[in-house]
Amino acid sequence: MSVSTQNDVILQARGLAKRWGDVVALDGVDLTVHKGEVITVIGPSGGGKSTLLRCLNGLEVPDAGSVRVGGAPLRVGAPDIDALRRRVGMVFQAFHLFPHISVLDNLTLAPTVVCTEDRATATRHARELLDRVGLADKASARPGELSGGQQQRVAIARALAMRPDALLFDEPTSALDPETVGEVLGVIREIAADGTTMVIVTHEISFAADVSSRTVFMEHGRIIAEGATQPLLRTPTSDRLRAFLARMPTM
Amino acid sequence: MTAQRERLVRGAVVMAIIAALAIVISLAPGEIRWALAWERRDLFLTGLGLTVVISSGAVGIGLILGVIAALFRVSRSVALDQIGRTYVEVVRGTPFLVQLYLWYWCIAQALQLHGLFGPREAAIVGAIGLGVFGGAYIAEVVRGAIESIDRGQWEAARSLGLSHAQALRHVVLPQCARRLLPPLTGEAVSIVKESSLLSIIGVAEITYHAKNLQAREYETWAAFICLAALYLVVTLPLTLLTRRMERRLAGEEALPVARL
Ligand SMILES: Nc1ncnc2c1ncn2[C@@H]1O[C@H](COP(=O)(O)OP(=O)(O)O)[C@@H](O)[C@H]1O
Ligand SMILES: [Mg+2]
Repeated sequence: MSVSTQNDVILQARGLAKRWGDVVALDGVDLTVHKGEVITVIGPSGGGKSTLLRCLNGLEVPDAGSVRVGGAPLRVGAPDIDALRRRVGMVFQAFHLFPHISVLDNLTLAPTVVCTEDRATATRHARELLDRVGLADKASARPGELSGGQQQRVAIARALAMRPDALLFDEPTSALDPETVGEVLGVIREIAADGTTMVIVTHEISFAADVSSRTVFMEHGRIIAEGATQPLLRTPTSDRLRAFLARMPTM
Repeated sequence: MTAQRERLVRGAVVMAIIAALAIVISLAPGEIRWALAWERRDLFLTGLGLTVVISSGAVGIGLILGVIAALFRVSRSVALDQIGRTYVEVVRGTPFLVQLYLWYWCIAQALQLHGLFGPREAAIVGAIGLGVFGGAYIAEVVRGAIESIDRGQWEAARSLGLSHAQALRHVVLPQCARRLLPPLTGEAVSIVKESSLLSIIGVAEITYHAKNLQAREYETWAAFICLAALYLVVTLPLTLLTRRMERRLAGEEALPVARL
């Protein structure tokens, strides 16, 4: 990690803990995300990756620990929670597009409803974004008419429509047919190249290797290893990370 | 089976049932004096009109109360949730007849003391009572629809920075609206049928006139067969409409019953 000042920190999690009954989902997780960084989070299923991501934008309330968005504490139920969430976009495994409105309206809904943009500006921006994810011709389609890969690209564009400071991806290609995984990863790569700050939970190790600058390996709710992506994945020093990578098909 | 053949079979069965009923009725002891009902046709039709007007008013009141109560129940305030829950449980846990007596004794009697209670007031009190009753059931229907919307829709909306209320208004409720139409029509049918109880507080709706005919002329059969038929005139179109909407919705989601 390069030398960075406190004011380029976009997301900061400190001592996050979360349990469901006896199941420990997070057990003291610290994570700092700097502006422009692309971080991938890898690890076995049930390791707490989704819970971490969901805590970062307040979809889950941690039992202990804190999350700061650009220095401001994120507290569910506080009056500024919506304003803070706006700054952190989320892309879900299952897309969760709004099925009752067109693709274009999926993109303009949030900016116009929360009044960050007037309709004309929002529409112009939405068309730009659809063009960027290669779906300019689908503006008036309903989400249900699109393939999984296309839906996920719309979901990415929808998150970008709020001009967030950071984007969180929770296994964005895990629900896709193998043939459409590539198009979604391609879009994420392009956005990363534009300098968007991102945290990506993924099982695509080779994708992680070339898209991210830093990688975090989680297991049993803890960060077991983290560091610059290339050395971490090429010459893992943690036995458990090595064991995990050995089980993955694409390394 | 072709659709045409199916319609034919269904039509024949309905005809057969009507014919069977006619035979059973014709075997009833004593003569049925249909003429007595026919003489009162104007009263019956006026009563039917009042039934429709009161039921419509009650559906309107019920929709407003029901949606408000449902919104209370899904709100993030525990106090509002409890208000909604208490309303629903009290109304659904007591017979409409009992509620109606309470409305009558609370409001009608108080007004009557001041000489202000006439047929008009009785109808208004009845419509309000019926609306409050229907609202509790509508609240549960609306709440069920809201809760049937995938959690992911809420999460997607909230993650974009929408508040709870904005997510409800722009994402969740529009998706409920379509699913709500069939069950809400069903509730409207219930309200029409329950309105028959308003006759006991002196509202001159259609059941009131049927009861009058029976009491004055001892003509039970003609009175109540006509009454049943007239209720069907109102409820059947609604039921058929519901069925059609359900089929339209289901057509997009599931296949009809396979008669293999
Ligand atoms: N809503 C929930 N209720 C109960 N247990 C949960 C819930 N969400 C997550 N968990 C549990 O917490 C642990 C971590 O889950 P998760 O963060 O989804 O892991 P990952 O995304 O790494 O697969 C798992 O054991 C999971 O079963
Ligand atoms: Mg997960």
